Amino acid sequence: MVSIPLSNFKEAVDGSFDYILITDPDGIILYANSAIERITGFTPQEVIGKKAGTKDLWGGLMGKPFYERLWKILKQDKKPFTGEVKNKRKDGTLYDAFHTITPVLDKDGNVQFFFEIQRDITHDKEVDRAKTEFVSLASHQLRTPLTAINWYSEMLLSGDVGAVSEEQSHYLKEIYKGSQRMVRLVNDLLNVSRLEAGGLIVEPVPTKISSLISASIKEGKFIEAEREIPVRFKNYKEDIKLAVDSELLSQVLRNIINNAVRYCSGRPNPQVEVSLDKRAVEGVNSLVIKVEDNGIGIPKVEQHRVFEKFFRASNAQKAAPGGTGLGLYISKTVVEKWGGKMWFESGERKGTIFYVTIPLTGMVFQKGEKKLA
Amino acid sequence: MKDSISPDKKVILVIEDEAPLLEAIKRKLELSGSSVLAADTTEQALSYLQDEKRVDLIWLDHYLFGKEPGLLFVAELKNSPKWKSIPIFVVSNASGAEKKHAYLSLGVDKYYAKVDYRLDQLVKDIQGFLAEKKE
Repeated sequence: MVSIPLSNFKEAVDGSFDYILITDPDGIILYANSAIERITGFTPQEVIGKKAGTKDLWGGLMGKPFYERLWKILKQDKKPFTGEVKNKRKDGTLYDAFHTITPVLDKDGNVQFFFEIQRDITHDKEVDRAKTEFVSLASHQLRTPLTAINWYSEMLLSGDVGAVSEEQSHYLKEIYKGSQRMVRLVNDLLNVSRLEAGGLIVEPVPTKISSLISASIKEGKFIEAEREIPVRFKNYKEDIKLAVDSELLSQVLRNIINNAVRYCSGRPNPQVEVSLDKRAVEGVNSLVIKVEDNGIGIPKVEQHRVFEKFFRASNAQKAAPGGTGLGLYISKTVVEKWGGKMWFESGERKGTIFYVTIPLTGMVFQKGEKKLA
Repeated sequence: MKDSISPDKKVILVIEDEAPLLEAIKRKLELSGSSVLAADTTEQALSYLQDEKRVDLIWLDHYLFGKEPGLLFVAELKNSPKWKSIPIFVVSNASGAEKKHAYLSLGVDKYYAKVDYRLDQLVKDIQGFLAEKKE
């Protein structure tokens, strides 16, 4: 290794575009580079000797749980902490930042000092927001022409303006099906853009869960290839009452049950079963909703990608070419917003079980700005 | 655009500013035996309401010319002793449950996402709703 004089290291740190901060184990600032002024508005001289991450400087906006977690990771676990934060500049304006705080330990494993690097990502966030808004706007604009295609092909097919020949009817059905597929895609894209814009509203209200699940099963018409697939609900012994956002829960359920139905419809003796259980999941007492099918399953090598946006398993693409690859991504994102977990077990040509949990203390309330489309 | 109205037919006032959609809705409702008053602005709809003795139901789109005209129109109707009891079905491509809640809290009877429904389903719902109301 080429040896570099220590003064070069200092120059590099002083001149770094990201701000760099060194504090003692109590968070009192010992060093700040010049970027601190560009990002926060405070000069290094103004901040040295003060406590980092407080309202006196640029921090303190994230709420108690955030800082408790931060200090636990840094001081007890002695691990690096990374994440996004909202901060306030000296002039009062807010900015978004991505930061990493690393504890530097002495040879006995005690924290010697903390080292923080912070980058202003306000602009990146704005670009991201603009992109999300564009998707939302474009999806919206597509809905009106899609409605026209739907309704006119529907009327032609119903013979509202005279009979159509068998061949014409076949062509019209293809137009109609294509349009329906586009509707699903547009709706899913709208939901993705809503979720990615952040701030999904979760409004939990005490609800009888079994009744809600029965209603979701009844409302959804689970028909694939003009054949009705039985969806059984094995009721829990008591009708558990939990604080849930019933719109979100039914949307997630419909999504999972629809998948189950779709991917078992081509198999012998297709059936779907929904059941409930109460148990601890990763230390949280939860209601576990289980949706089991005896369908095509998910190939082992593709299982790790199932929750990715636009990902579709190879056998799923073959069985149902019209899927969007967004449903499970949307569902998992929503479940995690309400404080639950979602996962699956699957065997190819055996079937798949999806699990969704709700904490027994109820869904976590989220003030948010947006509901699903 | 006004047709003569026979007394035994249900009169539906449809407000929709997309001409192709308005045409399809009008045709489908007429095929089901209703009379249709077709308006592409809320102003036109209000003038129909002032002229007509009877409107049995209003089919309203959300995105019309201007800013939130759909919501304002509903608010105006619900404040009028003469019109407040006319049932309103909002059929809109506005997405998100926020709009739906805004309309329902103003007192509309049903809210549909336009792109998610078949026209025959909407017409069937309207007929069912009016039949139930009559009983």
